[in-house]
Amino acid sequence: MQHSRGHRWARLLLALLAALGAWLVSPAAAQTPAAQQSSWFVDLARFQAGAHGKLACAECHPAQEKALSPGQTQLKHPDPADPKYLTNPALRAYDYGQCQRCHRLAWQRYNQGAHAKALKDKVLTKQSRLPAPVCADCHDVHYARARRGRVALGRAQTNTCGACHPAQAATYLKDYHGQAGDKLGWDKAAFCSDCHQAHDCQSLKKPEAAQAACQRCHPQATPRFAQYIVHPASVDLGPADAAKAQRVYLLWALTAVLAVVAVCVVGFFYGHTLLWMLREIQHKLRKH
Amino acid sequence: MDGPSHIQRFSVLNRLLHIVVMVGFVGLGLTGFSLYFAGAWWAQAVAWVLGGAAGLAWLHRACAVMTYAAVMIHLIWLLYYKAVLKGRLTGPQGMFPCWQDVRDLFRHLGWMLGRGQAPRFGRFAYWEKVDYWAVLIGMNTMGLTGLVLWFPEWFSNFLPGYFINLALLLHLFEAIIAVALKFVVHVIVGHLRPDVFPMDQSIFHGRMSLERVRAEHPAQYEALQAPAEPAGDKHA
Amino acid sequence: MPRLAAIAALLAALFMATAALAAPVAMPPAPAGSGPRLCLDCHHLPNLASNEGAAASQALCLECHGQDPCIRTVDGRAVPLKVELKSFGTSRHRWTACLSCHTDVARSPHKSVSGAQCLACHPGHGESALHDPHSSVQCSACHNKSAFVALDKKTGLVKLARVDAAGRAIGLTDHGPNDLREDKLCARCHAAGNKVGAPNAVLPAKGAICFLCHSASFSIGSWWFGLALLIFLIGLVTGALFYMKGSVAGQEKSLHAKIAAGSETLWSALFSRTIWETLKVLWLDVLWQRRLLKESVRRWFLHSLIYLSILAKMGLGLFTWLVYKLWPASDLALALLNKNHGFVAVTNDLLGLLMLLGVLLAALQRWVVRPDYVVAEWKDNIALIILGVMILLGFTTEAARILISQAPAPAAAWSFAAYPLSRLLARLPVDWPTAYAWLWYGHGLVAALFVAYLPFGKMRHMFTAPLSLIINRRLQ
Repeated sequence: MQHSRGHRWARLLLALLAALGAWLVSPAAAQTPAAQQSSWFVDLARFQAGAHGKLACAECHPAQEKALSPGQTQLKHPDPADPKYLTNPALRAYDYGQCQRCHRLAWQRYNQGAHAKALKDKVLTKQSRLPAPVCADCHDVHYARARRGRVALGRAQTNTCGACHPAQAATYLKDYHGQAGDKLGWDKAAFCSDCHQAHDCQSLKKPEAAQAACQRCHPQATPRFAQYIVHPASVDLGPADAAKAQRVYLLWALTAVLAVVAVCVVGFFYGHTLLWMLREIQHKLRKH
Repeated sequence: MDGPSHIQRFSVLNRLLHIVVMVGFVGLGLTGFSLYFAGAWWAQAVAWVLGGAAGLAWLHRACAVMTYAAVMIHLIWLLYYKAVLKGRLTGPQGMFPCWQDVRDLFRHLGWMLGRGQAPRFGRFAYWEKVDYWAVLIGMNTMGLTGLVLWFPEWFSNFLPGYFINLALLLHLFEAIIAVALKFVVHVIVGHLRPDVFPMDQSIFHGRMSLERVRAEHPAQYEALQAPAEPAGDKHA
Repeated sequence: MPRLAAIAALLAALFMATAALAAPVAMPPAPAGSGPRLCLDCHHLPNLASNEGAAASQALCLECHGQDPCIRTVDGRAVPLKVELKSFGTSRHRWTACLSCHTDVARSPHKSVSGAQCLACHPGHGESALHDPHSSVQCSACHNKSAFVALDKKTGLVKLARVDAAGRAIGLTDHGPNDLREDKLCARCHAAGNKVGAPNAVLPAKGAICFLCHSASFSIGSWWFGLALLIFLIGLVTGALFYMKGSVAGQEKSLHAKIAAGSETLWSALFSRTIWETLKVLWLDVLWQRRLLKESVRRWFLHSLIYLSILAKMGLGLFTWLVYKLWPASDLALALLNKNHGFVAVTNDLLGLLMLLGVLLAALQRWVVRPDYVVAEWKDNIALIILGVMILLGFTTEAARILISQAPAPAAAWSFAAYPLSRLLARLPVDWPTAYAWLWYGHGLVAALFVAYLPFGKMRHMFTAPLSLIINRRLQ
């Protein structure tokens, strides 16, 4: 009885410290999802500067193009009489089979990846209740530029992936990888897709997968090395991730303890110095 | 006035090591915080000057090696000098903390609050000992967590991976405390006190006038004046 | 021969270029492989900055929104979405492209998230017209003709309501400018029983006297602020006249001679080498209170807790005013005006607590400890009491503001003293929107009293002490 009560108090203290620590490390700001919306208009100047700038409309929108030709009967262009005409998200209604005509490998990988599976299972994101992304959710198809540098692409990933995974983006930016890569633009640091892959979008919760990801840059990475926590956030942790959740709480609690210690130590010495200076200055003034 | 007007307070080696540690510490603080607060405008400016994240990381390690080497050289010399040449580690002339320091702290605080006389400090007052031991111990703990962050692959041969997170957290907070104290308290004490303003130069030229010794280290002054004490002829 | 051919070719090229420029632009450049009707006939982005673009944009929107049955069904109720061009009246918005303001509607799904972008063209209001809590009120909540407002709990913004008091859906398509001179306008929110977290009364703007501790504007603000300022100025002038009564260097002279001598001295002091000496006195004796420190560390500490905190608050207030005047739309200005912003909230609460500590310690010194050198005059006691009451009311007002504005904990908790107090106040059975107004007036009134009393009571030393210090220095 005595033991269990003490245990409960310890747990309560740990939870309190973790809460303070979580506040100190400022949890991921709930940003509004910045997923691209399909405008009715195409800015030609930007389109022509983009990667797809040389393509004619019909190469990606063949059905709509046909609908415009005279004498055709089967209307494929969105029909204003359709009750869903205004509410249908065009971005999701598009036939992305068109993309694979040029981007076959990306298409195959996407279909093996977690996003395609989530789309099939109709899983929504936890915070913003969005369905899993299709091509145009991540790729700005009309205006995206080709041959951007590694850092520019990586920084774009932090925003794009972060729109649906804000906690992961925020923790990545506080991690050394994010500080060196995204913020300081070091091309040898890891960006989102360097660990999670782009179209496959792997979860790295399995130890073997995590170790394989680490080893791409750290060849000597051991299974223990892969336990390093890049994203110390409690969102998206299921019952299977109890070990990680505990460590995240430990990190938060330690942050709180260290913050309190730092404030006390620094506060004591600052007060000591202030008082001392005042007294010494007074002595000096009195001598004159 | 037949005696010398100054005493030798710091040896050449310690003066040299102080400069090395000073430069190294400023470099460590600058590069380390620029890496951690990389999103801030000042950090971006420092990174731009010092060669981006790679430059910052290299300089941070270089400064760390330099500073830690200075600490090690000091320790080895100190042990040799104290243990081999003098035969004892403690004593009123040394940096070893003793109960007198705790009493001095409370008397000093009382004096600041307007109660009683100022304590009569020896060669090294308690705050100087705090400064010294904070660096000596701090450099070793910072070095340890720093090594974990430098060679995470090797350390994770026997430590779980989240110890790297812990090491980073400890490294960060200790750095914050160290910089908040050294860059403010140490600088104020060394520059802004009316007695030493604009700058206490004794750590650079090694000497301290007997007048100042009498004012700031009266216990040491008394020991120097007492003719029988061997400490008195040390400077002859 | 080749030269002639080249000149001919050049001339031909020039002629063709001129002809091309003169020809009317019929179509945007067509990508290859398009049929007689082009995708880009409809889908090219119009230039909204041009008259043609604005007209095209309006025409496109009115294609549907000009039709009569243009409705949206919300919770089974039909919301009219028809836009009458007549409703724009003489407003300049009549000639603006719809898409210039409604930037995110031209898309599928046809739905706005960001709303109309007023601030893209119009700068926001400053502290004078707008107290900080209004920064979470959408422009349309005041500037639209619809009188029904609601608090969006998710974003913390006060917006136009979608339904009226009877629960009927409101069409918000009236684009006519609202007459903001009507007093009724403020009563949309500032009324008993409002659900948007507004105080129960329309409070005056902060006047110049509030710069003592807050960011405000150089205006009178309210008549009793003005009265306080007037009494304050009268007190200063009376004090100055008192100085004039004395004899200068033993000689009785007429008033104008004294003024002449005084201004002569001031002039010669300003433009002589002794100005450095005077500045040194200002820096050491006025700002850092050297003489007080010489007397006693304890007294310097007590005095500085109050004096330096007020000085710091005044500095922050003036800095905020300056930043807002120079860059009204900058992030810095918005952050400084935002009372929930981490830096502003922590600074205000910390300085307030330090002042309060100073007042408490001074009171303890005066009434409990009573060392020999303390002479507790009633004038001092009044100043101390006014100051203490002002600070306490300030904290309570701040807590009530947090309480009624319903700011979520992560945003409001930076006010580390006022936020816990607001949680405590929430337990009291008080109508806080009404109480807030009383608290505000109470704090303002005590502050006005404080300012008016400055030249008469103990606090007069604020002006006399520096003056005599400088004069003494010059006489030496």
